Amino acid sequence: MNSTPEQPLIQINPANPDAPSGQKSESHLRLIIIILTVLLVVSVSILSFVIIRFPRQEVTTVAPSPTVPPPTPTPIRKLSSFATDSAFLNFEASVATLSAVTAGYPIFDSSLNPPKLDLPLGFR
Amino acid sequence: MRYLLILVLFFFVLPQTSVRADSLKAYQDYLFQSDQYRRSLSEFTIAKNEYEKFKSLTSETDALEKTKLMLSSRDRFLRSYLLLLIEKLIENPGVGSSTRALYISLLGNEVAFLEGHSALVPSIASLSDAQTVSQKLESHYNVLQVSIYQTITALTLGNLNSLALSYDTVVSQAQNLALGKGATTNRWILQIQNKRSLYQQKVDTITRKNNSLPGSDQNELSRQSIEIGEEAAGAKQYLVEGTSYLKELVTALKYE
Repeated sequence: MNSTPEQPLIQINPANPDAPSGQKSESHLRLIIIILTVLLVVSVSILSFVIIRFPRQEVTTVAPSPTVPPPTPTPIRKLSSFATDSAFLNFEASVATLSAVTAGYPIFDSSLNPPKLDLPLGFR
Repeated sequence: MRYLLILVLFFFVLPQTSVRADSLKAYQDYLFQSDQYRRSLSEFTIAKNEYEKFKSLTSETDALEKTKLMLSSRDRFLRSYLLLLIEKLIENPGVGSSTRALYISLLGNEVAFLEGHSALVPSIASLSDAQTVSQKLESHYNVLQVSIYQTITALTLGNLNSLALSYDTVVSQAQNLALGKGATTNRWILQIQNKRSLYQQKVDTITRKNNSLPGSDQNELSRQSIEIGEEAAGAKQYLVEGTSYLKELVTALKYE
């Protein structure tokens, strides 16, 4: 009796054509992510360096100088023939004096406020 | 030439200085009497409190002495104030002679009353006597206050009157100059005169109120005095406005 021990059956999986390419794309994706991350870190670092090293300078905008309008000439008022009369000059002086006096003339005398007295003796 | 100058100074400058000096002297005396009265009032208050606390013979004697001193200084204080008012009436050029005579007579009577009252003080022998003498002034005080307020108003009206006289002089100058200067100028002159009329209405109101000041109610007296003060300020304002119109008239007449 020649018995051969039963060989375990080696089950060979059917060949999967997609398996190697899926692993490949996954590793590519991982690589891309790593590269992008590195690029991001590097660009953020560069940007930070630039901002710190070269702070932004205030841009001063110079306001345009306003154009000065040409001065309007003061109209020359012609004196009336009457203005040089002694009567008028006298009147003008009187009005000026009256104006000054009226403005500063005190009609109330603060020194004359009635005195305050305590009248009842208040003995109990 | 030098002697002439001295003579001019003697006749024109010195009398004015002495007039001013009279009211200034009266005012200084009033301030001095005010100070004396405040001091005696303070001493009287302390003595009165001591007496009411202890009721002892010593404190009573002290209180009586301090009361007499206070009553005397109170009369002197009031008298000095009335004399100041009289001096102000004499000096004020805007107060009419009859008004001046009336108020000087009124104040003279009050001065005489105070002198009579002051003469009673030495005869005070007890605190009860002191109360009686004090009450004589207390009962008369409202009448006295009416005289005081009326005089103050008369002085205020005198000040206004001085201004109005200057105003009238300038307005009459304006009227002469404005003759034949056109309708606008005439209308302005009318408006300037209108301010004077409004001023006069205020003055009439003040005079009427001043003649009917109440002698019985202290609060009403104070209230009406304030009203009179406001009316006087309004009267002055009319003259200020009229003067402003006059200035415009000067400019209008000066240029073509």
